[in-house]
Amino acid sequence: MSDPEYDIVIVGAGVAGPIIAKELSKAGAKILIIEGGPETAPTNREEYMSNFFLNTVKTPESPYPPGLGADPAIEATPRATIAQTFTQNIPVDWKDHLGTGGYIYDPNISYLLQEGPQPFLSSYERVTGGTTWHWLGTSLRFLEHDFKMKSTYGADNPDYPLPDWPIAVDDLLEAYGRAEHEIGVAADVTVQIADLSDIGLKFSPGYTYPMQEIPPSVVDNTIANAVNNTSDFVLFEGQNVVVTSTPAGRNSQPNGSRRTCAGNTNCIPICPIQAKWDGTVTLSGAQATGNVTLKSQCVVTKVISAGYGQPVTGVEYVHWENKNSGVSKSETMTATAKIYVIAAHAIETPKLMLMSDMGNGKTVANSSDQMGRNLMDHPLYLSWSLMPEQIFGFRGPLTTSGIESLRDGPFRSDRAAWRCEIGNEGWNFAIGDPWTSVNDFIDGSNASDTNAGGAKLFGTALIDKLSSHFTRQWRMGFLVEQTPEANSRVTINRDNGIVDGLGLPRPVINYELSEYTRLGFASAEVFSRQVYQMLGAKNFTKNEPTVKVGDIEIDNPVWFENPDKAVFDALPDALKIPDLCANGQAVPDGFTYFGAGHLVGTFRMGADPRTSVVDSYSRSWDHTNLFLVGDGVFPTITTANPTLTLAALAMRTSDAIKEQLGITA
Amino acid sequence: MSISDQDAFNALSALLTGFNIGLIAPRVDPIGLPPLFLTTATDYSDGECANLLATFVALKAIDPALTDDDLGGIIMGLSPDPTTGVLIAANQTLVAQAIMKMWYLGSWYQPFEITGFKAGAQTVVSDQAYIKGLAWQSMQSHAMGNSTLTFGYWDKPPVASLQDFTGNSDVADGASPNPTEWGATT
Repeated sequence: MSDPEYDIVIVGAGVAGPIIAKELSKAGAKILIIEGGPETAPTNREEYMSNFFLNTVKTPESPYPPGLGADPAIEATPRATIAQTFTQNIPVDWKDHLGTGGYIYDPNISYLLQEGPQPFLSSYERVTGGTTWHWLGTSLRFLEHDFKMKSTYGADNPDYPLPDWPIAVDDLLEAYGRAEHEIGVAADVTVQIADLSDIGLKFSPGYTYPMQEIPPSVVDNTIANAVNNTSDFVLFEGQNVVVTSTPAGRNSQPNGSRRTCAGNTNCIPICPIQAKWDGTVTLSGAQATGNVTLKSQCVVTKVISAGYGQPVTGVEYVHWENKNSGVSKSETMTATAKIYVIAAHAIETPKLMLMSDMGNGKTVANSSDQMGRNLMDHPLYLSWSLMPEQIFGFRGPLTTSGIESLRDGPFRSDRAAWRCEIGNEGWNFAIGDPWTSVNDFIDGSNASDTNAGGAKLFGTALIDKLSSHFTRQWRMGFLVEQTPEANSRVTINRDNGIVDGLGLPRPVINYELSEYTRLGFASAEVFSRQVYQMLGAKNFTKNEPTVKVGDIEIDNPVWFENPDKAVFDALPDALKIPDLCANGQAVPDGFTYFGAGHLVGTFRMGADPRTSVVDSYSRSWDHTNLFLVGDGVFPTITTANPTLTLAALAMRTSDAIKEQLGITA
Repeated sequence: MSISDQDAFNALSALLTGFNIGLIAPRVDPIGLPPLFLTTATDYSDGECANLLATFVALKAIDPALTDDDLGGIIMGLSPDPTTGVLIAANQTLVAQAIMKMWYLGSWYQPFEITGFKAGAQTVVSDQAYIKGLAWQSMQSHAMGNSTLTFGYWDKPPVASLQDFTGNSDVADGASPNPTEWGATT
């Protein structure tokens, strides 16, 4: 039995799905949203908080279903988690089997089947509201040159790795404003313009953000006092360095029924009071129109079309429920509409599309053979240090400022740019504090690298040590611009016998950081030394080439060799002092990277149907009533966190769908 | 009059954590962490928690002149028990350290293997154990995910002093900068 026909079927209730649903339902369109994960009622936040409190591992996914130990072969909606990439899940002989059917992480633990050569380290949620349950809130606009990298920095270089977007920043200014108002972004436009207009940050004339900015932290202000308005940084000669308050989707005032941020220092994994916007806020707005039907716990298994040039005629899906210790699923159902929107992010969307066989050996929306390619993240270089004075981290939102002024510059011809996020959570991200250091100073161990003497402290001496230690910790996170690569990709393999609890194939991931990307790590290390020199701070960053699995030492999959030892050789001696250097090494052997949680690429937009999956409105080149939305369309990831831009693109897509449906509300 | 196990546990906890006993074991206590922590330490230590408390009570009884530093050093296995001339049993020290971590972090770190639990296994004792963890107090803050403050508090240093947060007037508030105490290998 088929559902009644809708104007629009939207697959996925994360960021883009609810925004498009709200824009179109306000205009009168009848919409069905199909969400694979469970619906999240407001009371779920209490349940999720309890999960967070009681989990020993407080990773981004720790509050949410299914639980961290869940078997990806049994669950209906398993997803990638950080815990799946813990060292203990790496087979000791992982390197020997890559390329011959082996994976970096044990497929009995890891939902993603990681074929390497390097691991993809980001994760996501499959619940209503999607990964915004555990997003940070950072809402940065892209810069003018971000959209035109090839023509700006690589016009004369046939091997330049970064393409142009099919749109320019001016095409998105109005949509950025709408997205910022939907999310409720707190920032001061005059501050943003003063600090960043010279690197191409743009706003519509007279624009103002919907809420006043979030105040910078003591940490931020300490860094700013030392580094602001200097322009003689090695590798960034002539470029101004300035700490800028970060626009954030976090309430600086009451917003509807949601409260003002209370600085819980817990945006990730979960804001206890929903002061941070998430997709459920916009979803509720869409549902309030009365024009939106939500079907949760329904996983779409196929998008139906007769061929390229033909419309999509339906989506097949199954409803699932947890029964006993397994999953029960319904018969396959079909939903039909005039327009189809797939909003299941950069891994589940290409997985679904590659599952959507058209019966002729081709899959839907893939005449370009680009579906699933160009998977990107912001590989993150984490640098952590101790200040000479107390700066009182572990207070306020997880981050309130960053060094954004180096996100653009002529160096982008040769090496990756980054933004530098300043953390307010001490060494929590870096080494798992306060747990790690408390154990060290009680047991006499030295996992933190700050108890070489093996002190076993108690009483007043323990308090004094921990106070001094925790209140001087801070870290920088460098979000490095990763290049799109055809072979960094999502595929499926129906022959490997590895499926989820619904019997669907699991995403196979190939992933590698290019030389251009790796060079951004070297420049981040050089930059961090100069910051520490100005602050009198000591660098404690570790980049470990090997890790231990049990008692066995193995190659660390997240480590790679320093791509530019010459740039370190050439540094002045003052920047080679061990206290300033990661691992204490003047010339680093190599670097390690983290994921940033940013799943980007895999169905890129472009101006040419032969080399891109969608046009600049996120419309499939192959099926005019199919839109693939979200940050999977980004041709390049740039240096900014992707959510705001994908929300702006969802506004742009909404306008295109209105026009296509002939709606003029 | 003999001291109860709970009183001994509270006194030992205050001595080892450095926090005022009135803060960690208030007379009127709607949360009740001390009995929960004593039960946890008892249930997961094969009798060593009781042995530790007996050692502590005995030390205090035998030599009232022992200072908190003396007692802590003996319990932590840093100096010998003056009555025997040797260190106290290693498992008692391990339980003492596990009790300290429970107070600071809200988690029980299994100190040695017992039936069904390997050494090093962790569990969060309760949501309140996490929220009230003393580690957060030592940084003059709040548990991550449980702010007790209001918008914008983070743009200034903490209002309350470390003495206020710990109830310990001997702590060095405003820990002085001293790069030689970084403690790392160089």
